[in-house]
Amino acid sequence: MMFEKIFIEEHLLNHPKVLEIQQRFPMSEFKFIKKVEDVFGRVKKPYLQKRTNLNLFIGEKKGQLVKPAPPAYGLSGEPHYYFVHAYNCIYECNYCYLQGYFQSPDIVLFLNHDEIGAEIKRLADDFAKTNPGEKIWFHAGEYSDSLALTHLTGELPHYFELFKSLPNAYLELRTKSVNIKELIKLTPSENIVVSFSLAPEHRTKLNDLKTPGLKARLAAIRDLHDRGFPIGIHFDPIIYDDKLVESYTDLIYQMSLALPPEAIRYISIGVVRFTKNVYHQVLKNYPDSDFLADDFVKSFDNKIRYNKPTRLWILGKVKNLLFEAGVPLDKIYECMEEE
Amino acid sequence: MAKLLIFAHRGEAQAFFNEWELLPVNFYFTGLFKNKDHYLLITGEGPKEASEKTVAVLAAFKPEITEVINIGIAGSLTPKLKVGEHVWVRSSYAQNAERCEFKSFTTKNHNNIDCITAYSRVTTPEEKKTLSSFADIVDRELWSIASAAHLFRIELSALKLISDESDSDDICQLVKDEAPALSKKLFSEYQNYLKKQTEAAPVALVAPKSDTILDYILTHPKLYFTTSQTRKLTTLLRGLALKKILDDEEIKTFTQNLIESTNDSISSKEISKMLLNLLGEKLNPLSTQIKNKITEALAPLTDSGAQANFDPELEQDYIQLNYQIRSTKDQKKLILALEQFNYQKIKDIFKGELGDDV
Repeated sequence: MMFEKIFIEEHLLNHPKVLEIQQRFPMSEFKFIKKVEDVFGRVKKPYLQKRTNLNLFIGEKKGQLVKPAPPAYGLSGEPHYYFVHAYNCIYECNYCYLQGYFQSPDIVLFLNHDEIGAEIKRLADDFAKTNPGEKIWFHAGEYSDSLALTHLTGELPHYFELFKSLPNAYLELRTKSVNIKELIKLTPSENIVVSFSLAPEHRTKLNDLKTPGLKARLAAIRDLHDRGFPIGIHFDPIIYDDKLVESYTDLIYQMSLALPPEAIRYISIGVVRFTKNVYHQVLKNYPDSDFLADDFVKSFDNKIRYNKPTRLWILGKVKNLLFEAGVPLDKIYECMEEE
Repeated sequence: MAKLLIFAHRGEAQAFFNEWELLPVNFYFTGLFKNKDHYLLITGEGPKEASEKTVAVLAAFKPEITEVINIGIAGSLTPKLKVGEHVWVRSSYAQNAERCEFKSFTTKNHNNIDCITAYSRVTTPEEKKTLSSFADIVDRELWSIASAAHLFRIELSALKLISDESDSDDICQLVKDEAPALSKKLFSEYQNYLKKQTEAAPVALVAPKSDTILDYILTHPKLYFTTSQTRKLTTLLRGLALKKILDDEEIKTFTQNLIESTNDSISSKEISKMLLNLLGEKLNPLSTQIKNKITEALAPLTDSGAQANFDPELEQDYIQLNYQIRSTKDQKKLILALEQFNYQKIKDIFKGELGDDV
């Protein structure tokens, strides 16, 4: 991977991570700026320029460092938060909402993990006081892949150490990556779950562009499971086609070979959906995506989805396939669907 | 069909005037010229001039103008681009005072170089440093021209020759002094561009397959499509191609079979509607099955003569009834139909419970 330009906030000039990145990318042009927002997102940079002209920004996250997660995010009945330590992704899933979320595909890495960690600890401690014995969840990977760049970013030990000291708090690392080199250097912890997004093989090839293939992801899952890392799974987004039942049957079988159903911490299922803006970006960036020919409608929350019977049929079918394969129903949750 | 070449300064276009026979066009302002294949516009320097004149020319001559090409000099903002090099611009950005214009425009023909249009001349290293965060070169017109081309939905390209390193106080003098040499280089590169386009043209003239089948259906004497039906047909054909459900030959056979199966009493409009429905079923079989199931569940109502409608988008589980009661018999008929109608079936369908046959 190569970054054309690397923008660094001036006050981080002597930060060890900055010095390391400068050594790692000697061919990139380095620019020092006051703050990331002075350049990132100031102009609309076309999404697909990430293929030829990807820049990196290094700064510190300001504002709210840990935010409440949207509804239906994680197993219900427990509070869920997400924290932001990066923006954007090196992959190119053609349905990805990041296309319409930021005004630039450039990668932003935030280095103030101490501050983010302190906020997580504050929320976890407060929650423990008022809800003794109950769990609180923190998710990484809302705006970036949690593992893809960890060899570069190096924040995993920080968060592992933090969560090992917060027994009531759970960390989820969401990923499509098989970059587990840094992860396996660490001792697994009961309250740190690595969760992989999976789709049938033909869908991975058609939609999860530039990501590791299904076989590689399953191998990473097996490796982590064998080493004792708790694993979560996301079947999200599910894209309908006439092979849906057969292909998810096969996917669940393949998955069960890598990870016994009883060992899955949880599995989320969600049907493909877009905000209007993201949908227009998909039309622009990936006009030949087969799912664009599907029968989408504007649904209850103004998001673009399959019609209600279709999406509930899909959720019901996949849930049933999982149940038949031995995944307990209480481990399955539906993502972003109304009551 | 003509291309519109847009220059800021006459000096930049000098070689084009020398090599081509360009005649002035009688227009609202001076600076517009024409030959057989090209309009050539001299806008004067700056985004305002470029914007006004480009919009005026496109508004007047758009049907004839199929491509806009901005040609001229630009300052380099990066050490990787040296004076005398030419580039085809990828994305066009703009900066007005401290503020960047949010919108950007991207060309198809480019070599990965971005250009930022500055509303005032760049004279200090600080300004150059700021702009270099966004682009590789700086000019004074491209973003305005791109914005106008975008407005008129005309394809845009931009050929820029690096004239300086964005630290020259008097770019006008520089253009004047270097004009013949700069313009010759621009002309030569533009000739290469035309040559490449001509070489690529035979391929471009081959109509895409989907157009062929679209033409076949639209021009078939037994079929008639309204404008909105034509749009629907285009979408369906594109969808069938994207999903690789039917190829052109299969669609042709499918259409022929449908037409042959209908008798003469069925109008062209009706056959076209039937074709759209059948192609829709092929493209979205699950939605079709859902609609059929709802229709089946509504049978007790429709059999009684009631008109029963459901949400065509399949988002809300309402049923809308229209029924005229003119006698107690009608009333009893409706009461019976309502008793036989099981609304729970509709609710179940909307919960995704579609039965074992799906």
